[in-house]
Amino acid sequence: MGPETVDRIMDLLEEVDEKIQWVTDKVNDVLSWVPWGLGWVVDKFRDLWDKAMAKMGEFWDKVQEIASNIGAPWDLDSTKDEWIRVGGPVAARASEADRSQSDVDADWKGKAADRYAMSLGAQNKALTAVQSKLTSAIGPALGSVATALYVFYGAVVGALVILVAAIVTAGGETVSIVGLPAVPATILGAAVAAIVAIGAAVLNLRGAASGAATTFLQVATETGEFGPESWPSAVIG
Amino acid sequence: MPTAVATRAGRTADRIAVVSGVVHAACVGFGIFLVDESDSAGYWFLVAFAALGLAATVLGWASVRAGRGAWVGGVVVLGLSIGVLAGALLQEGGLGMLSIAIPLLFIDYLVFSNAQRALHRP
Repeated sequence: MGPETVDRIMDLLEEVDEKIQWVTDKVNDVLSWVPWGLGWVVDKFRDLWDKAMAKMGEFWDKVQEIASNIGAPWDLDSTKDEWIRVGGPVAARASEADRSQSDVDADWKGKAADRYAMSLGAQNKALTAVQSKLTSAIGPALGSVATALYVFYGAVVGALVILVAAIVTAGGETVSIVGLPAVPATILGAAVAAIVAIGAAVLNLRGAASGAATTFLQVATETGEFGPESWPSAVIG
Repeated sequence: MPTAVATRAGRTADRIAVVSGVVHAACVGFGIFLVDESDSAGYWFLVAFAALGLAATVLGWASVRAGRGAWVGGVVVLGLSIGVLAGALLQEGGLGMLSIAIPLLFIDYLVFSNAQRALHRP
């Protein structure tokens, strides 16, 4: 799944639009054959049809909003991978910031060596925390938003597909006046199902995004291991 | 039910079954992609739900020719898939799985309702 998904969604939007016009023409064609004296049937049908079209309008409003604010989960995914890639090598350096692993006692004697060795503990803690506190929190948070966005795309594509399927079915129902009453019900059902599906996907995405935002805020405010006191002044200037 | 309507319903069931089959198969693939992407085993529920839905679609489509037994079998399999979906709702990302399941269930409904109308052919 990648940027081509957005093109597919746009194609489906156009297809739904064309199919609605197609079924509207078919319905009007059948209605023109309704015998005189059955005007009340036509009126009842038009009421249902208007309801179905109103729901479709509601659906289009949602879809237009989505289409103009399309996110890119693949970009989030690659950012997540970059954060995870940072964690490993930095944490691996942590073992070097350990007096027993360092040559400080063998090659360097005196007060300066002692002061340097004393700062190793804080450096070790800070380097370890890059993985344990930063990348291990940020990576999964970005990943959960990316997954929720993929699911959201899946729901949008699914919603558009059922609209096309419902319109095709409605086309089959317009074969006669007997089948006609089922047409608005089918389209209305599809529009409602599509709206509910997209609504659930939006809630899911909102949950993932707010969870990630909380994580980012926690990481941003938690400076304990990364504060200036953890690094030698030569490092932080 | 008039023959023309039943025949047309059978043809519509055929067409919708093709769409449904493709969508369910795509959802199986999408579920596997989500398992891989999120490292969350919960999405296997989505895979199982879509696979059962695919089997139900095949039975629903076949019932137009094979008769009521296949239709009932399809509905039973569909019921099983709804059971799996209920399990999915208890997993992490359950709401997201529901958002994908709703369109699939609607397509299943279209397949089975059209197949049923076709079964009433005189």
